[in-house]
Amino acid sequence: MSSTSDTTSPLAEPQPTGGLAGSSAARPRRLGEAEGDAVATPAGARLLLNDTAAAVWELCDGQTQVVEIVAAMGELYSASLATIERDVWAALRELQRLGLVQPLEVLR
Amino acid sequence: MASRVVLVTVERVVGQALAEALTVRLELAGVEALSAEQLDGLRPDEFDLAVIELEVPDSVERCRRLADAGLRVLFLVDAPDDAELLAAVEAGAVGFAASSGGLRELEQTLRAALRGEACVPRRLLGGLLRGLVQRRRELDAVEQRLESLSAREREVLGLLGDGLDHREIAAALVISPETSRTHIQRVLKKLDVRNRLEAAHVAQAYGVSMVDQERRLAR
Repeated sequence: MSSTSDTTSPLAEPQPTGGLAGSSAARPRRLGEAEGDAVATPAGARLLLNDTAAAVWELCDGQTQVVEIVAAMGELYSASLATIERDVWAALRELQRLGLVQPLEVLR
Repeated sequence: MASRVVLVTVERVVGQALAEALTVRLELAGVEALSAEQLDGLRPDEFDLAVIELEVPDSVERCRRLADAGLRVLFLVDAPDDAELLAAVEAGAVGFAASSGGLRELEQTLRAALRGEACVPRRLLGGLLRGLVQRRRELDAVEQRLESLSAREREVLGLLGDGLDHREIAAALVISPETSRTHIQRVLKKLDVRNRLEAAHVAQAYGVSMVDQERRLAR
């Protein structure tokens, strides 16, 4: 589990870590289209997300709550739920920054 | 310490060829290629990892037996659907290696599995997580229905789970057979199941039993 990495956009810049705890009941909705292993943003950029970010993006269907995404990942990975939750929120913030999920107030 | 791996493929010759290649690449103590039948005679504590092709007959059940015995199991998959992936994870599989990924990817996946990591190829991860979300919702829905049962209906469900019919339930609860039937019908309706057998499965799966009831009543 790690935060997003990317080969075609400046994703490596440090992300803020504090003050961003959002509602786990939020139901984020993805934007853009899958193109093989990459994701095309509405603005036309083609991004390569890491596994965690790609999985979170796929689960952002506007129906699935953040807490459900965290619980599902918790069943697969041995990391603590707190760690997984932190990584999911980090992925969501980056996806929002990239325009790949609809802006959510709780993510700001 | 070098690890020992067992490989089970539909075509045994494929398993044997993989075993030879992986022994060299991973510097393993040993890789054994077995048939599905030979796998049943395996002593799980003699190996560190089992790699089973999903198409092997009863592969998921065989995985469950090995995982229950403490052996890590990795599935070799071609184009699995989400339900198959979910069933494999529920049976205790630690991950998947896609046969389309080639030998190098398989080697990396095996290394990760031997390190104790969960391994799910990126293209399978989204579908598997969707399946896990859906299953969690179904479990939550059943739990909510169980919460809606009255204390008496819960007792009736516990007895259904213990295999009693409506007359035996009536005798156990000192009520008439007609009342017993009425309670059973209410239980079926509230749980949204079609028959007593399904209700009994719910009771067993969720640990609703008379022992549980007596413990609750004693509080």
